[in-house]
Amino acid sequence: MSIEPANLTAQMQHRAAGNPPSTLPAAAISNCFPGLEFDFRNIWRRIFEGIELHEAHGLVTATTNALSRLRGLELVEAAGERTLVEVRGPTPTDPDAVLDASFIEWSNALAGFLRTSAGQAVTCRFARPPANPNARRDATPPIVATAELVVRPLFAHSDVTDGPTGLIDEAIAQPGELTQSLCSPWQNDYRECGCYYWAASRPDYVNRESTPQGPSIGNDWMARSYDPKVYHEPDSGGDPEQFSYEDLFDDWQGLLRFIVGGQDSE
Amino acid sequence: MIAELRILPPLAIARFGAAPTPMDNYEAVVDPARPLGYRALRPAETLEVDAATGEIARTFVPDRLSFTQDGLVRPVAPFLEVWALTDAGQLEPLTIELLRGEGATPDDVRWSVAVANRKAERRTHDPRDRIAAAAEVADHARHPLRGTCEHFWRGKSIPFGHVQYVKPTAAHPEIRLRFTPGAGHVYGASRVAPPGGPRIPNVVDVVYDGSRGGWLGHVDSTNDITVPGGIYYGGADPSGESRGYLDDGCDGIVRASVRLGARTLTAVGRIGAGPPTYAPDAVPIRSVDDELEQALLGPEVQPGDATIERVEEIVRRAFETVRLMNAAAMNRGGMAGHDRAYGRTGPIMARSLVDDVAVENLHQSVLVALRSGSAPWFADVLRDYDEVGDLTDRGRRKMPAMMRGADGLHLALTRRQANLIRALVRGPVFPDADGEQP
Amino acid sequence: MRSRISRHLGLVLGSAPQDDAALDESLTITAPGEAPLLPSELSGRDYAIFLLRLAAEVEHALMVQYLFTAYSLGAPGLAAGQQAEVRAWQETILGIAKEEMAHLITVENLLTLLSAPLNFNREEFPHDTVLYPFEFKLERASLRALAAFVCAESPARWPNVPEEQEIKELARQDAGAPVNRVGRLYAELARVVGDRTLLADGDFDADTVAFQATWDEWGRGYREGERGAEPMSGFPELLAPELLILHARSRAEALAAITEVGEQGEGADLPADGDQSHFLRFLAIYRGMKRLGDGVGVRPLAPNPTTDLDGPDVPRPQGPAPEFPATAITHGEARLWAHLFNVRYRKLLVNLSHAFELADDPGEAGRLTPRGALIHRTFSEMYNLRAIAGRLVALPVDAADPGGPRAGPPFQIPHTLMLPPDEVGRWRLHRDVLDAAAAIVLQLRATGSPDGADYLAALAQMDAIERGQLELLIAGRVAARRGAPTP
Repeated sequence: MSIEPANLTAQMQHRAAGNPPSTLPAAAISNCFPGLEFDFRNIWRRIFEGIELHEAHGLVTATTNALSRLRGLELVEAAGERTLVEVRGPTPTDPDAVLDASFIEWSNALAGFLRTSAGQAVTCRFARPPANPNARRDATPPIVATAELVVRPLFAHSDVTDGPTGLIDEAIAQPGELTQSLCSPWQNDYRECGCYYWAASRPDYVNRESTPQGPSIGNDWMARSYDPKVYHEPDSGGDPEQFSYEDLFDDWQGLLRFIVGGQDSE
Repeated sequence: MIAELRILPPLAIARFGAAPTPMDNYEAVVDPARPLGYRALRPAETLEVDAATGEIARTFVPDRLSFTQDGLVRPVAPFLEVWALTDAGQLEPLTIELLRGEGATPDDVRWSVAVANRKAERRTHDPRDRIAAAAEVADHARHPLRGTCEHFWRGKSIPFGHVQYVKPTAAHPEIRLRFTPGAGHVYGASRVAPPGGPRIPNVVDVVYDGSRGGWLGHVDSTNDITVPGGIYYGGADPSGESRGYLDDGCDGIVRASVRLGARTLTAVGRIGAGPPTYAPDAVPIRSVDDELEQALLGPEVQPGDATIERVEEIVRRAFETVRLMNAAAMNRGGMAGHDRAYGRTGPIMARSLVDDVAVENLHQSVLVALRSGSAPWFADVLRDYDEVGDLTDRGRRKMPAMMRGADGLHLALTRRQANLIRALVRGPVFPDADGEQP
Repeated sequence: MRSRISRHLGLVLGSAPQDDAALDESLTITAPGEAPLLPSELSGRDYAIFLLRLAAEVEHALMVQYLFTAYSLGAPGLAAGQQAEVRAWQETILGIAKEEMAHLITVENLLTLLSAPLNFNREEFPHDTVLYPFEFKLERASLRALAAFVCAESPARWPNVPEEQEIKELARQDAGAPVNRVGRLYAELARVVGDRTLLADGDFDADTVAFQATWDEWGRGYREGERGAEPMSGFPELLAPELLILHARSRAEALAAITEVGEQGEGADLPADGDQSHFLRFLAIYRGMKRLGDGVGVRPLAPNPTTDLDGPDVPRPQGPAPEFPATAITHGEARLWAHLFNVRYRKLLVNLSHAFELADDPGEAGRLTPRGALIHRTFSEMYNLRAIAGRLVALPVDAADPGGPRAGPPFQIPHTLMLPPDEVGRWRLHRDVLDAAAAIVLQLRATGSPDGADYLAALAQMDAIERGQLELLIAGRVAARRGAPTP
């Protein structure tokens, strides 16, 4: 058994003997708001040397002394890629009005230059955060500072192959930082989101069956009782028919069911 | 000669559970005869480690899979293997024999593990709220990872599980470490030393000293709070004050060092512990693997990267999420509800289209068509990464639909995933006569 | 069959192709104060329905012919640059076909608005009226075929197109007669629908809107035109299709729909939003193929492929032999795929027509009709048609000539497109079609051919799932009819 040292995806996806597939990064949700296994947004906080970014938006939370002028500003452009997008939608008078602006996730925002510019300086532009955090944002705020910042390689370097390895470099995140912005305790995340983008880890609608009327019936995964098959809406820990936070803290192992083939399993 | 060591996988995920026996190994495979069905879970070769000796007592394929044991969840406890980059220019597992070639033995291997839970620290910005554990391992005993914190009551800790250097044997000569995570328990806080106060329900132990640390009673208020904010337990108290709850989740770094004569080679890997995969036959549509692949290879795809199989896997994952959610309900709530922050109310899709049977049929039909080898056609319905804030009717209906991304807006695939699909869309509509996609 | 249609038309329009300008005049001739010209035996409302049903057939036929021509493109073996250009033509024509599908749905909406019978058929109408562009035929891409498409979508007066005469002549050769422009039909529709003396305001029944199709349901993320021209996601150099799925509650909305649909076809100028009409898009492809060479990148598909070994399914009129005879598909595996294609085509039409029978009734809170499933399954069959066409264009049409012309999608119309009058019968019809498909899939899988085997396995599973759902629906409807509580 051997692997090409340059084949990094094969290394990252390597199933060590005895490891089930749930041990692999492919089993971990990453459209993380904030996530379950990791808040993977944390890998971008130190992607520029000399500054630390907020995991979810442009705020510069820490800097070296030399770059202290950037602290408290927001990164709005890097290597020509904008980190803010307009939020658009209809208003009573305009079917396609600008409603607001929002930072887009780092992973896609930085992807255009991350690999090609690793170890090199790129031009970063910064703006002042809005004075009123609740006010509507501008997607192209005035630039108040510009800096040439070196893109820190995300992956550790191999001196032997003189290239990246599949390891997220130690300089990127210290122990505890990949999970630091997740819910505390983790059970909270099973209760509060109301948007099921992580059905693989946290199913929503199970034991479904078709009905003579067309649409199906099924169980709400978080329901206390699975009989009869009723879906409880909205998802809420305050609904006596659904598990509460406290139920999960006390006995998540006894209450939550593994779902295989869409049906209860054990 | 060994030039370099690596730990594979470089990022291993453990999953909580209090059952004594870790989860068995399995495969989740698409049955070619039932390509629209769920991935079939098939038991696979499992390593059973003797707790006392650290040796692999036996390998076996279980008769059936069970994710629980006597009402408790079986933890997922990954192995981390050390691989060696040799003169042959290939990575291969580090074994007794390879070590012997260097004049070394498994006793020359040292492991060091450092993990932490910084959830409280992230909110309070007080480093004394960091819960950290470390282990230095030179033998094959179980080494507990006791999470300690300056603000814990005296003698209190949170067990983050344990690590064990699996003892290589003739039958299993590879160098590996196993990480077994914590049980997934909740830990509490108090302002008077336990057991002085009344028992706090919900928690297995009271560890945090709220008279010294700020986590008990904390309220998110700084300008760098987590997004979303306030995601800690505050009970029914409308003040949003933290009850000081903590968990035994953690992530950290594993280091394996081997003394080879005058040289010491070190390999590094990462571990994390999180909740179980409650639908183990489903894979998230956008996973950590997709992020890593994009970071590694860039958003642009090379000829040959884009295959029907890759696109089918993306669609399959979407299907796996869709059929575990109540699409009709999500169309009313879920992302539709989150859009209210921007003044958009009302459902996302036409009501008739989110009948969940119909939604399932739709995703199935896309999978069926891809199986014909004809190119995908649905690039125009994909949400681009910079369209996540498009809340027009059309923007909200793009795919993946009714899901949330890391920015809190509508989910987009990674740019690389989207480009994989687009590259095939641009390609020939039909495979050539020989059935091969060029 | 033909006479019952054309006898109405001759009175209004004449039956012999005439000079374009003269024809356009004849459509609008009414002396001041005179009653508008109507075909004998027809009322104004009736005539509007007649024209809409004709429009439905024209849009349906154009869509199918465009699809066939698009599928013929992409023969392997081109240089990379040429391959990309031919691929862009193909995508452009597929986009136009999608827009024709939207036109068809809009026309069915207008029929619904007039409480008229819908028309999903294609072969009820004569091909020798001035309102029909050319005789229906399935042919691979060529300068002649493209010329016919250009003419069919052309405006009354062409903009400055140096090749105008050359294209018209090629189109005439292709069609065997001058090609009529579809725009004329829409102009006549606009005249009739806009005339209060022909249709009363009360003829436009706003209550039918719950039965009409909407872009919300059928638009699939394609643009509705709200932001003007946009590039295609996969082909940034091309404009994304714009699906004009328009519903109407009144005469004004009906007229607006007719105008928009007409303009998307024949627009001669670049509109302000940068969109291109079908006319201009086909013209660009014509010019491209002329530059690369007639037939470059075209698969050698046989014309008018059919599973009927004796020739076309529908008897042809007396007269000179058509220039494009039908080609019987005799190659065994190709025949099976062709039969499967026809069944899926039928399934598409059954799904589509059934969807118009079920209202999207917001009054039924929390209670969904299976209308959404029918809509999704209509798209599902479009994907299937594409997938099966991919097999057909790779297989020989003639068992005796394995290296000869390839088969292609036959698009044969089923024996009936009438829907049963009640839901039980309709769901049973769906089941019948699935069963017919299952039998063919079984035969195809028995050939042991590895090509398409994965697809057939997946298709069989999908159909089995749907069949289970149909059985439930049928049982539920039967029980409801008997007044029993549904199981």
